[in-house]
Amino acid sequence: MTEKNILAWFKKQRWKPHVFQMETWKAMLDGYSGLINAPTGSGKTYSAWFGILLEYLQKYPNDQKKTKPGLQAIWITPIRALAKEIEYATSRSCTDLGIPFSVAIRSGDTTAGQKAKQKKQMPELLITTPESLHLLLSNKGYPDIFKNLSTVVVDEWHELIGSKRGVQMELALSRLKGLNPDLKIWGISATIGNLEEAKDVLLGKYESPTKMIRSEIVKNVQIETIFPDVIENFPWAGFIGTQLLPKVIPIIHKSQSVLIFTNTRSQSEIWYQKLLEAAPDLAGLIALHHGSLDQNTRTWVEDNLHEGKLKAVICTSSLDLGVDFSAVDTVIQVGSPKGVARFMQRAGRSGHRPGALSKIYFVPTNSLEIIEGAAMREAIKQNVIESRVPYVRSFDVLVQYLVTLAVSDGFDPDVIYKEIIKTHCFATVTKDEFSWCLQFITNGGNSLQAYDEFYKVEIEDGIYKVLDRGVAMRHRLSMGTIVGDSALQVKFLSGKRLGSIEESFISKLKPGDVFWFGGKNLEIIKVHHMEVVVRKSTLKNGKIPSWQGGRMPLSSQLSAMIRYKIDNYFDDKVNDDPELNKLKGLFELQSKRSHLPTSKEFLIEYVQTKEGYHVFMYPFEGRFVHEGMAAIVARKISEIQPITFSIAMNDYGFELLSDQEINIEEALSLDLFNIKNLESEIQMSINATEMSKRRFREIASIAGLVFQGYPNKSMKTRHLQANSQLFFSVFEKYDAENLLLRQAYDEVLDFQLEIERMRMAYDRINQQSIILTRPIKPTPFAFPIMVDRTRSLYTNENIQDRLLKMKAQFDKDS
Amino acid sequence: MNRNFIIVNNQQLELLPQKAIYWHETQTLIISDIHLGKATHFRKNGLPLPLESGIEDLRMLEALLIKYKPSRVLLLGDLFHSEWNQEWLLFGSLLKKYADVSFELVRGNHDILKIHHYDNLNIRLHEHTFIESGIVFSHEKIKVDDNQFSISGHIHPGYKLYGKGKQSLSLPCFYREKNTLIMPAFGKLTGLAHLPSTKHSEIFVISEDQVHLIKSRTRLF
Repeated sequence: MTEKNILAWFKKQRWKPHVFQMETWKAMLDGYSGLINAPTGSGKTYSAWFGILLEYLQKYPNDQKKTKPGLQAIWITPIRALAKEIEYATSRSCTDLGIPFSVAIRSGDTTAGQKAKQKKQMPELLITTPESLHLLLSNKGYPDIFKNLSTVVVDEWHELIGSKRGVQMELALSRLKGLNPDLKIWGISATIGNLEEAKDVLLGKYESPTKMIRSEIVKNVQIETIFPDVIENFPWAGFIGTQLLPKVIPIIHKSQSVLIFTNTRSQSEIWYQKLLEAAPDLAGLIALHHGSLDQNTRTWVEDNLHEGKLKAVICTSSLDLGVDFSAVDTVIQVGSPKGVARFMQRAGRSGHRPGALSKIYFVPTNSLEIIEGAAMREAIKQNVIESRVPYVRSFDVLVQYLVTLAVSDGFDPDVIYKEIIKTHCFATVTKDEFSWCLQFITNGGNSLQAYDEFYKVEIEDGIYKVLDRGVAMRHRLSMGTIVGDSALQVKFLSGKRLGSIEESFISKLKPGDVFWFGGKNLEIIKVHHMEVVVRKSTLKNGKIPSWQGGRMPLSSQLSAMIRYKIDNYFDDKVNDDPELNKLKGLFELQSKRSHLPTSKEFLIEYVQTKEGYHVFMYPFEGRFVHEGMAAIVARKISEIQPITFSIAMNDYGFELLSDQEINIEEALSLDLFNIKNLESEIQMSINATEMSKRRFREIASIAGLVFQGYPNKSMKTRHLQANSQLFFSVFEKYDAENLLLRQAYDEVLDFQLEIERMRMAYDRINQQSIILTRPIKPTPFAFPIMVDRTRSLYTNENIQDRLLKMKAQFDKDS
Repeated sequence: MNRNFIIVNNQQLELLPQKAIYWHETQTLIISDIHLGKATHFRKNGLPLPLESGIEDLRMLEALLIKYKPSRVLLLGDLFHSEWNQEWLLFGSLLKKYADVSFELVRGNHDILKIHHYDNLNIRLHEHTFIESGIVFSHEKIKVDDNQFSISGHIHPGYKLYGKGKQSLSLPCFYREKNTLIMPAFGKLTGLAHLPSTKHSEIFVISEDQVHLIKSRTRLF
């Protein structure tokens, strides 16, 4: 059996191998590690898969019934649903070719019986997730399982790299590489802005030769923006977008199957409701899919979509990834897609075949947003796409990993230190920092006190081990890096689960109240423990739940394209976008009331309304950067006069609102955008402690300080429950050098405030000339920001004053 | 400095910002939910709460003993967080130092120490309730007659204030509703359970060294 047989098999399927597939096979046989850049639906599975098979056939040429060589390869998928697809594709070709190569899945759904069977005899190919791979590392005698392992394939690496699951992957690979230095690592990734970096992160700093293989397949994406008939009647603000629903219905009718992507769970619920109202004939043919719906419901929707039984599914990012829905021929994006990569990925959910055209409709939710259709088209034309920034120095994941190893056979710290510094994430971790981690798991990171009795990891002959069974069990149950929110389960009296809902929403309702959830109106019977028991209601109008999940910022790439497109508007030669033509009326009004800035200008508007005095600034750099900039500008202005600001922002600009008049010229003379030390500016202006405290929730959970979802809570475990905030405040007070605490602050700078992007925005603004206007009325640019109710406050008052002020407000209200 | 009193059956109960009540007539200090031993209990199970955090509570308790010189300390449950550990000995040495003060404990759900542990420190134990001058002391809130007044702990009440500009402030509180009062948790290593403001509630929030009464109001939803 050789490559010939495989080529014959391809022929039988009426397929022709792509160049990138054959390149991959050769590279794998030559012992390379690498990254395959290929879009979904391009046959990427068969590139790495036949590489594995060919190597196996080379190693065991005549193997028919001899002793089983055991685990040869591991295939990592980010979601369980994809595992089934890989299992089907791989085992089918083995059967067809008559190769005795067994394939099995190991994930959260795998039964204990199946796992026991696998333990006795591992399959040749194990399809699993990063979490389940770590669970294998927590088993006694795990090195035995991996002794013949020659290849690890990490599928959809672009999905993992920007998350802590990616870090988890890096760590698991460092251990497997440690066991077998010849191990080959192969990633499969869709196109992202930092492919080379993605490859380096996955492959680590090992000696093995590496290769980047790019598929020759190009995805053709066509964007069509759905326009309101008259721009003047289209709202200036808002982000639900159901005004254009009448124009979406005919698209649904003429398509075979449609995916309608919305940006939030509430938005998807509203769209589902409104769609049913407007097109009752679609009842039974449309469904809802989002992350808070019960897993069974979601699986049902996915299966029916797969079989082509649904006309349309309203969904959120919950369907960004997942199995092939070949019936889907149309994709609709409602509201700003926020980023090019995400938009392309969604567009790619239709025409899921090589060479097929992916058509995507863009439904804007407010006037100005129309421009994003043009920006997106430009980005695709220029091949501009976002990077996925890998995490570095995630001590929470490292601490969890060390305990995982201690739970299994124990570990030698010198060996493990040498391994982890070969990963991208922990390359800069010093010996001292690593010692801190070791101390943290052995003595709680505390200076030794006479009567301390810290028990977690113990040292025996230099080997770090967990001896206590309770510690081991708790650790196994709380492993992973995905931290759920504390949500209440919604279920019928019969016990059927519908999904989950946040406490902050349900606490405003009482039994008898009706809310809309999962496409139904539900009446609350009772709220008990962590459950909301409901029955179907015949009432028409239920409250629509909201889920927290912060709003994503517009990506830096898309922001740049929007600035570029506004510039195009001035240039008749280039301006051929229907979006810009549609926006003409709005842009003219913006020019008339204030000014339409070119890319060389930075617009500031100063407006007085009955609400007070507003300053608007438009960096067009995404809401996170605006939040930080707004606070810095507010603090600088407060140096002139004691002042309190209410701050609002969107992806295009921000607003400072005050009850006092602001001397804007004097403020501008302060050189508002000349920042010498951005870190210290941020520190002085932003309440980083509050932000870090929120960030710490995930860190504490990953590092095993708090645990959730723990079954059969006995009194003993109840006595061990504490929330992350408690740890945060005691660490702040007694253990300020704690690396997990420092990590929370670093993550705020990198991910919450996007400090590098902010730095670049400042550089750009300093090149622009400032245009100050004083419009009589709010402009089309200003209005959507002005009406945003999500506001923060800048003030110098202390807690006691704040309390007294709120109390006064409260007493007045009552 | 503002002082907050609750008058029950002519008895003056002063709500202290130290999360305690001083009962003037009987020179009694009332404290609930200290959760001593929590840091050590966590550490024994591999959860690294800094040890010093537990000692802080004892320091605060001693400060109160010095300031008010009570003849009696009434503890409304959850004195000790879980199984016995060495922090009990630290508590013991404090009690020895103030031997003329009598300590009484109404047992809470966390108080699972053996009887002899309490006996050794001369702590008088009440299994469910302790009643004096028409005031019913218990750990968990219980129903009492209209002419009685209930003081309990257990839930670690807190209150969230909202201000302009989406600001909020979460503070521990004494929570009074008609003839019941729930005390804040004394221990530093405890969380807060946010309670709603209702038509009949009076909420005394604690901010640093002050107690402020938030007037009642009808619920918004």
